[in-house]
Amino acid sequence: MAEYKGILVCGELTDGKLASITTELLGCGRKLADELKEDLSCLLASDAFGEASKEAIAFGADKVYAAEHPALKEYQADSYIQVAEKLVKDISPRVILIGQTSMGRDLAPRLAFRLGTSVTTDCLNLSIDSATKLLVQTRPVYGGNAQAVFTSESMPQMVTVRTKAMCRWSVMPQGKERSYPLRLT
Amino acid sequence: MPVNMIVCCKQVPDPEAPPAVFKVVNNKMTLPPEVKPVIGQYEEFALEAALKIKDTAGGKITALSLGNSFVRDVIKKSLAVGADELILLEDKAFEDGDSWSTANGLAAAIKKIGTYDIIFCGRQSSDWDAGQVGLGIAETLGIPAVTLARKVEISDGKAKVERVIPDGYQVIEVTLPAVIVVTSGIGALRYATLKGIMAAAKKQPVIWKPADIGLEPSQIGAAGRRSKLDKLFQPVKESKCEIIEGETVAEAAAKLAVRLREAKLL
Repeated sequence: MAEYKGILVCGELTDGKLASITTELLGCGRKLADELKEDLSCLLASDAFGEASKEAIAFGADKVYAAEHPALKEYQADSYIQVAEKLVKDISPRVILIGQTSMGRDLAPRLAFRLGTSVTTDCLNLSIDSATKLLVQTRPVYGGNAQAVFTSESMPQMVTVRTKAMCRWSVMPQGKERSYPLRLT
Repeated sequence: MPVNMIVCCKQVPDPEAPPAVFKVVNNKMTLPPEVKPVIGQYEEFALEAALKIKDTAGGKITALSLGNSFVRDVIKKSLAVGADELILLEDKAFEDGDSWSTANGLAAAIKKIGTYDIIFCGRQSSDWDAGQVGLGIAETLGIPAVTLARKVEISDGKAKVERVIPDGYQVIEVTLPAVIVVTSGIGALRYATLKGIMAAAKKQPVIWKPADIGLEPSQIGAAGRRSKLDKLFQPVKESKCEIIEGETVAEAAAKLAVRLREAKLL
């Protein structure tokens, strides 16, 4: 079995810039990565990149995988899922963070079922269990009348995170940018 | 073209019950007997989407539900409003599943049904709110899925779907068979007619056990989960009132802005 390591944020862009949910996911991912002493990676997919990769580094990512292809101009499930699936299989992250957004709601369950793992959607709080190193995932259920705490029983551990639930990170970055070779079929 | 449709319906505790009756006991949601089960609100929209297509293009609707201890009068509402058949995956082994094991069970039943053009699901259940099962079924069956549908039309063997996005909607054409995940814009489920209610009373649901859909008890329900529920709890809700004061209105406003920013509300 592959060793699962590191945190991967599936990023989103708004008008070529990092979407605010992605900066929040990077902030949350940075904390988790530091606790685990592992790397934080960010996947960005677009038809053309401006400064977004550098932005992702500035918001805490150690590595950015930038997938550039005309088919990635706007979110479209079939092309995005190919990119995400390939990257996850290449780098085997321990944790995948996705925003509970229009894109995330559509992408995360597809990706989870394709990878054969679970995803906990709409999380409000995430932490690492110090004994098991598992991601502890808290989300509202029963229309907000209760909250549930989940852990994944399969790898990678996937969650989507509600917007504005996490804080951005604001320390000077150390990471480096990398392009991600991409073939769409 | 007559369209073969399957609508996945879930029986849930009435989400409209007052919040005070929702009590967690031993990690389980426990509701008083006066809270009746209902078909989840988004599954009702999914049923309506299928009925609208049956109205115009014609076809057959099979309602499909997975769980245990179904209240017949509740789940047979699908038949009363116009579904042609009701299949219940009803067994203790189907209880307490997660999105993974539920989608797995439903997909196996859909394979057994065999002929289908559209599988309609609601965008999320009214109890666990996960919003995954429709997409999970599509991935398991290897067919396309369109989420957040507010309107569905059939033409030339394809479905034209209006999909809700934050600033409007997209029109997506999808080849069939496909899963279409429905949201509220489709319109409320129609009332059952007296004739429909009487016809439904005479029909009996088809019951399938895990073995009927070729699954082991270990693949479904609680045993087939890929996520573990560690704890279910009710956070204590408290409200506090803070008065922000200042010498002048402008000063008070500035302090209020600072305070709101501290609280991450601005």
